[in-house]
Amino acid sequence: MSGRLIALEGSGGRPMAVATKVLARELRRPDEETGSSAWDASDLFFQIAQGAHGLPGPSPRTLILLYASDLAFRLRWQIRPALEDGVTVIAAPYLETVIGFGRAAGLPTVWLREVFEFAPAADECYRVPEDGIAFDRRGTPANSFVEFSLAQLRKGPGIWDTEELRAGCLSHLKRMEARGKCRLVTRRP
Amino acid sequence: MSAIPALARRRQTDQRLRDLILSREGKRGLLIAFEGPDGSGKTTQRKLFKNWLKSEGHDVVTTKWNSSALVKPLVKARKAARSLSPEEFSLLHAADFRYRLETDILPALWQGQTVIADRYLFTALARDAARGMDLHWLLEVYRPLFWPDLVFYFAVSPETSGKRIAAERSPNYYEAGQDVTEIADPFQSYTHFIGRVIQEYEALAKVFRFVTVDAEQSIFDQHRQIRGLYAEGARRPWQEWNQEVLVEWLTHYPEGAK
Repeated sequence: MSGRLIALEGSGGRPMAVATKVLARELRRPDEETGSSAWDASDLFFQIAQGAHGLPGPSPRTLILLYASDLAFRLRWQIRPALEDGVTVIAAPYLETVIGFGRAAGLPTVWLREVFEFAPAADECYRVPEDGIAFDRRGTPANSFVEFSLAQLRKGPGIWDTEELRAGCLSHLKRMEARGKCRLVTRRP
Repeated sequence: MSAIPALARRRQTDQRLRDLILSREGKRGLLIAFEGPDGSGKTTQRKLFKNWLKSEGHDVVTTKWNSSALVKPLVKARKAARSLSPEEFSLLHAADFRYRLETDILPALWQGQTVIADRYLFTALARDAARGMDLHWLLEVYRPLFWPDLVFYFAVSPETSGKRIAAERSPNYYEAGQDVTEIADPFQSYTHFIGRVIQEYEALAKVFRFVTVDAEQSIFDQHRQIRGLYAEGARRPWQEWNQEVLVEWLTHYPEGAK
């Protein structure tokens, strides 16, 4: 594979969409195309949202397995073919958002890493600036894995502190940044 | 807030849940899995066994493979479109299994119902490994494992399985393994693929100590054998085998255990 795989992590929605555009502009190189791969390319979550009325909400483990299936689809149809063509692909989100979500839900990191073993490591990782983001600018269940999952967990029957999960997921991304494994997306001055 | 009191609280909660699991052992239901390749007759045996258990006064429920209202429609649509890769196939079936485990199987067992699983996670291990997926990864995807008390494995030869299927219907695209064999004729592909599935099943039967039923015998003889094996009373104590799954479930789904 000759292209570059860039992971853009965050809770989704408009901030993620804006950050994808900013990052694409920042990373652009002469004679090199840039593309992006977004959550739910396989339509799994859309179909669940349409068809799951009245059903118990799935647990974080189930949601993570569904995300992994969607990611396998994205890798097969979007990411790998583009990388083979030398394209720089921004995967928004990729692995760390879902790993952060799983960790916040108390799932073992080892299990989370093993499930996503099929996904190649990103060449670079960025996170969306989300500190102090207004409630109405967050993603929605229709455009964000994290918000979709929290909405499913709120349906019950499980008992989850969804705001704590959201904060835990974002803390994981901040820790990644603090350890130098991920950078904050910033506009060039 | 310091992490140490939080950790101490969590340990206390986990201990309380472990005690709850231990105290439930005598009242909980049994989980019995029926495994085997297509055409091995396990569904016939499952129905006979269920009727017999009910006649003996047991409260019995059945859970079938790939049957959750949440995930089944997704899998069905993708199978019809022949659009699943082996990884997506594995992960969607694992999501279906986990959802059924948490919403159907565990609440029923906790209430004392006997749960008969017409195929269990070993189906995924055998079929997906036959599709070329790594067994270690498959086990991770299904982790933490929830162990049945008893697994009946209905052993047949690839020839018998092929003949029985051919007598009834044409195997579908994924059942015939056409996604991996790339053989156009479904019957030929099935014969080729089911041989691999049976090899995987036989390896699993040894490792996981399935109770093997010779599915080439008559229906009556198999049923009699199953009754006898059940009567021997195999039981895997939850606190030794299934604590991790149960602690996770009870932590977040206390209503299911009421």
